Amino acid sequence: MSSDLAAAPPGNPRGTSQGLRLIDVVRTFGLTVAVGGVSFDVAPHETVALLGPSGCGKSTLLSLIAGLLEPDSGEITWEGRSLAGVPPHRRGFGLMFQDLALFPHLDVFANVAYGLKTHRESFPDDPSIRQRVEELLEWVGLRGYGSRNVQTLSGGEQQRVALARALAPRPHLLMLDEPLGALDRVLRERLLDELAHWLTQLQQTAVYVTHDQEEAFALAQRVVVLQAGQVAQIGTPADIYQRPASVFVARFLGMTNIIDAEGRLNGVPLPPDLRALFPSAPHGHVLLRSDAARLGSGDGARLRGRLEQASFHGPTFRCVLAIGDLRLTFDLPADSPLPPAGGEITLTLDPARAVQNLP
Amino acid sequence: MTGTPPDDVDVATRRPSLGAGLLWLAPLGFLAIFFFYPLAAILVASFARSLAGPLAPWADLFARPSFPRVVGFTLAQALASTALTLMLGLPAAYLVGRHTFRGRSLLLALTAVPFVMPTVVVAAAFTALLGPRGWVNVALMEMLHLEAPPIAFVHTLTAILVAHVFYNTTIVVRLVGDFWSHLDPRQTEAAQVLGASRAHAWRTVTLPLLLPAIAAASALVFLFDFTSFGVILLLGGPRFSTLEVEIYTQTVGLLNLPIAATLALIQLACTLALSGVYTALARRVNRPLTLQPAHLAQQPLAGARQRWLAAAVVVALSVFLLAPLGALALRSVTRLDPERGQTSLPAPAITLAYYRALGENPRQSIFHAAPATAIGVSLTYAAITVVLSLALGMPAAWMLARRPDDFLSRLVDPLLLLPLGTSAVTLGLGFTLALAAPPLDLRTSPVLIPLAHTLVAFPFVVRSLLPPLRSLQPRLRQAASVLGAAPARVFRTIELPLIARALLLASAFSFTISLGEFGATTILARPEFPTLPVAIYRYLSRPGALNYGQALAMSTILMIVCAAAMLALEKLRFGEQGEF
Repeated sequence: MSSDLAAAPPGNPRGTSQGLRLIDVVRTFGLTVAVGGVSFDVAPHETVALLGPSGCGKSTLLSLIAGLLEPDSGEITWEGRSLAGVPPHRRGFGLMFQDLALFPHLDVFANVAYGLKTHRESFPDDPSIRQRVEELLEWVGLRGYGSRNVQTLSGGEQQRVALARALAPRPHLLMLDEPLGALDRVLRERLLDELAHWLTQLQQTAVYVTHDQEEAFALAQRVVVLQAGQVAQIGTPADIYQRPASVFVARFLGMTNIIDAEGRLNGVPLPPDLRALFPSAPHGHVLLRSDAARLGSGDGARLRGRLEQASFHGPTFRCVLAIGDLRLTFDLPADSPLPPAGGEITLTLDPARAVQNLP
Repeated sequence: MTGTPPDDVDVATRRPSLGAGLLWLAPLGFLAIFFFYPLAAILVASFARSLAGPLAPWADLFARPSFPRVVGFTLAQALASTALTLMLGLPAAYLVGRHTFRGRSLLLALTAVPFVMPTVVVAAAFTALLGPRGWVNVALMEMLHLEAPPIAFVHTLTAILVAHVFYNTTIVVRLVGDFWSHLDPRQTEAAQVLGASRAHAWRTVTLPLLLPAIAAASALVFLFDFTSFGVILLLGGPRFSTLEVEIYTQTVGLLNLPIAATLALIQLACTLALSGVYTALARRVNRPLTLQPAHLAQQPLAGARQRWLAAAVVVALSVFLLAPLGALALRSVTRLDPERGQTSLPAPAITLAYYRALGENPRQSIFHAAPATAIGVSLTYAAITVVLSLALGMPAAWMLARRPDDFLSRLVDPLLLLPLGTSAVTLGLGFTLALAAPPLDLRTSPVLIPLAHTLVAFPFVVRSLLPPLRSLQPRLRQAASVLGAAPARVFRTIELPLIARALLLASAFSFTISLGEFGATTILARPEFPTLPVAIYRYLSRPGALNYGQALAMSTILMIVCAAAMLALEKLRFGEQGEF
């Protein structure tokens, strides 16, 4: 880890519009609206995750920021200056593609050095380039790999080369497009930790695109949830997890106990005693949080039902509770053992946390 | 967001830019000045000679019963020749594309040799092998004590088809073989793992992926056969007539320029229709592929089955290509005919007299060309042609690959094949008419011949570069661009190295086309600077055994020069950019 790498990108004076800002950006393809009026910003040294399902417009947003596409309307600014008409190679941003796009005809060294040779083909005589590349390779754990053919590397090694290549020119803004998408679970988790570590250490301003909430929450200081080309919610990972702003966000995060304005869950009406839990039933939807229940009776609202199904998830059991035709999902702490499936159980809800309104 | 538009979007298509559009300037300007202008000049001049008005030759032509027959035969022989060329070329393309073996470069060089041979030489070669006094017939007559030659080859349809296949196999082997060597073999393996039989995997995976290259090769082969002239005239004989032969007969034989011009227009229309169909088809079948370096796809031959297959292909191809050329070379060192003054046939004897005679100029004729001069002239013209056709073809191919939906690209794409499908006779006359007078008086300029050669080589360059350029992953260019590379650097450091093999191939085509071009050269060449084919033709057109022997000797020299040049190109590598 060199002090060089930890240095902040130059030219970040404290001001009103630092970093990246998107203002009402629209981009269509024919009749398809890929991005329909998106605004958010990324502060210096901050990592922002763009989170959403396939087709929500997150990769298009990345292409717009990188300059590979131009917006139909709206504005993208960097340090307060508009990027309209600035071609990709003049933006000074880095982009790590999902499919990596390593140059197959160049070796590891030349791939990493590519972004350093913009002005002059001084390679390989320029000692500063050699030093920078070797520093980066060492840093991503690929010391001595310089002369290797990129196509003979393993998936994880290629990933690191791509990261080193993107970081080598010290980009003002690093964009990562589902960089862990194609990797196996073990490698993914390790690289996720490493990435989080690198981004923090470098104080790198970054935009991280993913469909995986775990990755987004682990890496980003703030998360932009996208729905069909529009911003569904912006907030810290905790904000978004604790207070999803809409039914869409709640469902996307895997929350299923969502009761509509008529008091139905998946079309099944709630029994009266359960309805009594929501005295101030609003006009919109209500979320019954799955993580706000305990096994057994105690202080709080009590729920009795049949334990239809249970699965072990490390710290919690995921249980499906059947009350008549109603099915509710709960994550119970795994410290107390569960009775066998099919038996009757009693759960206690924390009324202050269990019920949330979804606008 | 997989499968959504951004994945396919190109850096270059970000927004229309005038700068990139300027890339069309050189190729289009070249075509306008050196193709359309001479063509228009000769057509206008021809129709002006029609006393009964410009429509009269059309009525005259359509009234002739022979006209539909000529058009039908032109199309039929071209189709049959193309099909046969594919049948012979595809197994060879597989072999050189997918496998490494000893003699691979030699095989590639060998297939290129016929391509540069002037038609007069090829006709002579086949006559030397299979003609009434050819080696095969002579040998059979000796052995079987026959009175007459048993094999009738010259002046048959078979001769035409065989000569066309002989000429054009190299196009299929090169274009398809090269593309094949960069296809990821894992795709076919994946299909086989999914339960597809070898044949099924080939039909459903490999063939569709190869189609762009096969289509490109077929279109080029078809156009060559469609406008074939020398082969039909010399090997087919008077019984067979194609549009090109008719144009020649009407122009040179009957001096009926209006009819000739009408025929040239019909030929042009056919070419244009074919080019249109082909380019529309090529757009549809081209898709970005992850092209692999050749060394990943190419395996040494493994197992008896593969060895036998390879041996069969190599032997069949070698016999087919070498036998006529060998017959020619052998004939160039053999004395079969009586010397002047001798009355009886001497026994066949090996002699270098024809080669020695090449250097002599007893009558101090300005039409004499020492072999060294002719080789020098040919190589110089070939080098200029390579530079010119690459300089013009590369921007055109790049624009077609990167901006396929631009107005200009759609308009120009089918036009680019036109020079190939245009009558050389018409074009040659057009050159002398249009470029011999102000404002463009190039009659005495030595650049006129390479310009004419470039016209023929240019479509080849574009067609060779297009499939790999179109198949390049857009992500690679985007990655380079985001890393700070300006478009010019992206081209130089990413696209160029990745298509280096195709560039080599394009250079080889340009080089050989220039070495072998005869039709336009013979009209435009200055007497003191003949190319090898022109020198050969001069010997052939003079009577006597010595002249014939000298022609064959010169042909053999051309053959060796070509093979050497091809081998040298094969060995070339582009810097340290690997084996693409």
